[in-house]
Amino acid sequence: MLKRVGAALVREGIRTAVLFLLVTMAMFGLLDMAPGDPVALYVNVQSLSPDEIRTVRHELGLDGSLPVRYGAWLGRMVRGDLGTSLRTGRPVARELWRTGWRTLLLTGSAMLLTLLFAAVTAYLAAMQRHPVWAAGLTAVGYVLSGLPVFWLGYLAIYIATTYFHVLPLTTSTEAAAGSWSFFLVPVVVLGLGNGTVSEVTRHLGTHLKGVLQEDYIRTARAKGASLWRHLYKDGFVMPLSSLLANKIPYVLGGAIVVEQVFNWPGMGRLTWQAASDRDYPTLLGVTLLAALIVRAAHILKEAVQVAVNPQLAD
Amino acid sequence: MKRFLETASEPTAWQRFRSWPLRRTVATVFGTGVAACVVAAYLCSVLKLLPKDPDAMDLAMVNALPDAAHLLGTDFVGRDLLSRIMVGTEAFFLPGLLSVSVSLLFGGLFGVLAGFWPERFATPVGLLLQLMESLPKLVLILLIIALFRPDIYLILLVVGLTNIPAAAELLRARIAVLRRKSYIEAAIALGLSPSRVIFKHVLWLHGRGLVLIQATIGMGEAILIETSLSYLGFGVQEPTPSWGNMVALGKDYFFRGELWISTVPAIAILIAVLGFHLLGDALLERLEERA
Amino acid sequence: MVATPSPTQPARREGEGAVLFIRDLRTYFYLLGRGRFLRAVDGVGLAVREGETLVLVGESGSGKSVTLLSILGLVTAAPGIVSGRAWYRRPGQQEQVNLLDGLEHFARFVPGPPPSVEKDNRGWLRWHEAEMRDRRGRDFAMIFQNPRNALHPYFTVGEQIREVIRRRSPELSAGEALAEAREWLAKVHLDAPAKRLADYPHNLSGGMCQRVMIAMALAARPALLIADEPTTGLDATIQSRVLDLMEEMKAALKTTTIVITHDMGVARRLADRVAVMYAGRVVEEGPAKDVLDGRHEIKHPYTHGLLYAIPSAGDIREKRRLSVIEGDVPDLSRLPSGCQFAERCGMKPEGREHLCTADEPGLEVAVPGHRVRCWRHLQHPLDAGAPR
Repeated sequence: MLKRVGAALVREGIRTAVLFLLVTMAMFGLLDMAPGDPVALYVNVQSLSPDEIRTVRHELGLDGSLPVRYGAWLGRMVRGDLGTSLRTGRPVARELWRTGWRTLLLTGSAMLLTLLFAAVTAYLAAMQRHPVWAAGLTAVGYVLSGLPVFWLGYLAIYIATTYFHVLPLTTSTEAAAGSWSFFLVPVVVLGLGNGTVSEVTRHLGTHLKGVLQEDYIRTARAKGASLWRHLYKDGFVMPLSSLLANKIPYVLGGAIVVEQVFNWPGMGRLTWQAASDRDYPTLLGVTLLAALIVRAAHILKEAVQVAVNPQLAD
Repeated sequence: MKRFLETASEPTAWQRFRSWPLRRTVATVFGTGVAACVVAAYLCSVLKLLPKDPDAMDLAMVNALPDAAHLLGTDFVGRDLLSRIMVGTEAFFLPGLLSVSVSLLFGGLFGVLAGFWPERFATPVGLLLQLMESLPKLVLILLIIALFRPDIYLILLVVGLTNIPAAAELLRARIAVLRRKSYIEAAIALGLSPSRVIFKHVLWLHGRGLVLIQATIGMGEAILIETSLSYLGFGVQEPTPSWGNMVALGKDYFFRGELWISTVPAIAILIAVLGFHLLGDALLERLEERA
Repeated sequence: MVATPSPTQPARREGEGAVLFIRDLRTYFYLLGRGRFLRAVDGVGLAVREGETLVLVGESGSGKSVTLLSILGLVTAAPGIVSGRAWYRRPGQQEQVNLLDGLEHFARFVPGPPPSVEKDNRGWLRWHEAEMRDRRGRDFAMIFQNPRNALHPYFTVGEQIREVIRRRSPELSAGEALAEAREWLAKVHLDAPAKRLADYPHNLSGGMCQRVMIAMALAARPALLIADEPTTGLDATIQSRVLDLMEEMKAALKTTTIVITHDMGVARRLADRVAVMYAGRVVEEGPAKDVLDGRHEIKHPYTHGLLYAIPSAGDIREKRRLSVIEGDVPDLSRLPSGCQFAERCGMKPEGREHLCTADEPGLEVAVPGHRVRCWRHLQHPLDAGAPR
């Protein structure tokens, strides 16, 4: 089994490299298409003299042809130099490192909550054992997927402050960031309100119903074996890992909004600030990091699926 | 106890409709109703057939709850919420249609290509799909907003482009299943021209359902993206109403206990998105059943 | 007709002492789109005695699989079983128990017209599951068709057989159970059994998978083995080898067996008794020799058609036209009155053809031990008077 997983990881590593190249090419293409002087994308042109600008342009390789520019840019990136934030003047890579973890924590926990909700609802629906609960949860899922996550955030804050007298969640200090309630509410809001809940539930439900019709499940029943043992790998682990990898972009997008609502000091809020301030290096860095996170989720999915399903070895 | 009764003759279409599970009936009726309301609201807004002037401020009636004069109440400067909600559809309607059209047109094209000539097109389409799936849309949109300009048409055009691989993949998968069913082979062997087979048998029969599904899901997505962007401050700006910026503006009043101003547009978003989602899911269910 | 037994006493006559005695089973499905019942099993009565192999023969759609599956509780579509009894006696014991006991609380069937069914399917399945859950894999073991799909793709062969063994004998350790699994694989002539234990179903051919399924079913040491189309889906040469194995197991273990098939060849090789099914009913039932070789000239026209559809070597050599049964399998939601086979029958009794479309014959004894559902071989009450 480990051999299978190892081979899969190697395969995925190659694919990641290819995708990384493609993503960076697409990013660079966008940059190139943008109106205005490309130097403005890297430094604050207002604060520099024309001579300084010319020097910077030469250093960054911006005076060369397209492949040269791309190569220079890519080279810098691979070395870890993602530029300097136009707003704060700090290196982008460091900012991303500092905020990325927090967003990862928020997004990861939220995603787990989404999957948990969907798994429970889909299971109840497919097994047809508690139809009232299944119908109720499904309806709740649909409503949650339609409500805008920012409004849900407001509602959560309102309830938390009015009825539970938790500290005012909109103030953000690094210290407050450690407390449980400060963490829990955004996770619940993002987890249930990111708009993918109903879709994930539906996919999972359809898949489960399909698996229950399979011949080998009939054999398992005829053997008197534990249904769950025969069901959970194909019915839950496989689809949930796929759904996790496919939906994480949406949850990351939702994190931008949620971090804004709760003033959570993560990558999402950084993105919003960067977009407002036209802080291009930071925006680029965020885009790349987001792509990397999604890719990591896909690799995790591949590893899990190959470990569970012996047919995927080839 | 459930009662099963055998009928003497074939059930009529109405009886067949009656036998649908409750959920699907509700979903279809509600979804179609919502879509109709959104279209109606949009048309009224464009034709300026609004109950009240959306920009008219009435400082005497601030934060009012619904009454005879203002069916949905007023906002913090006394503007009629119902009219503003209706005008809010303009923010996403046409851009949403643009997004859906782009993804359907090109998605259909690539889907057919990848479906009938998989040796040449399946891998590039698959790769493009992976590329599109790697990036959170909101991040990409913010990048574009910063690099170019915050134009909602541009944004939803980009969203449409990012949806192309998904639409293509859906169509490609459908075609792959059909080809395995070998009646396309049979049709071509019988002498029908390939393009006729493609258009009549594949696209028309099976494409219709997929078009509707993509349209409903695409519209739902457009609403969520446009409102999120307006909420963040990048979309439609005050005083033009968008459901997103209406929620944002009501924020301070929300925490003071005056929930109404933010909640009305939020409910509008809920109903619209829910309607499109439910309709899309019901259609998808019917499509999967026929398969 | 057979006398209705009182609910507390098991029936006498054909069912006496049988390991499984099915009486008047009806399993219907409801077609929402058409508002009609699909009568998959429409009044089936069967019995299999200890040590005996009963082969249930019929075309696809004749209801042969659904009969056994619904009794085992593996059929979940509504309404499902609407009436019937299934008396089970474990070999070596005296007592008979009705596996479908309690059905009358969950189902009410009114033949009509118009026919109607009241069924609490969810409640029935929960109730029936309590009865059957322990019996499956212990009293009853099943072999299915398409063995590659029937085995779980994510577990090794060894793990799947071991599961059955540990369920039967929980005192065995994992290692001991796996060792016994290896013995069973050897018994079904699977080469390199020790290696095979670690293989997954997709590593094995169809024939090998079927051997695994057989090993898995026999390892449970069931009172009743049910083989549902064991050779379907396999290559012709492999089919023959699997049948060889089943014959060998039959001689060695003498397990009470029901084999479900559409292939008369399978019946010839394995059957002690044969029951032929058509349109959800048993149309002929008797000892294998009688039914297949027609010792007493008693034969249902359908059975006749099935047997003569198989070309002999001479037929093939001479390139003679294959003899077929005219017509199509009936629509199980729109069954005709009278004999179900009438419109395809080429052997109606002379001078009495009108009976075939007027009345449906019962499954009656034509010759002791051999029952048939046909006016050719049975007396009709109206026979005494003038024909219509």
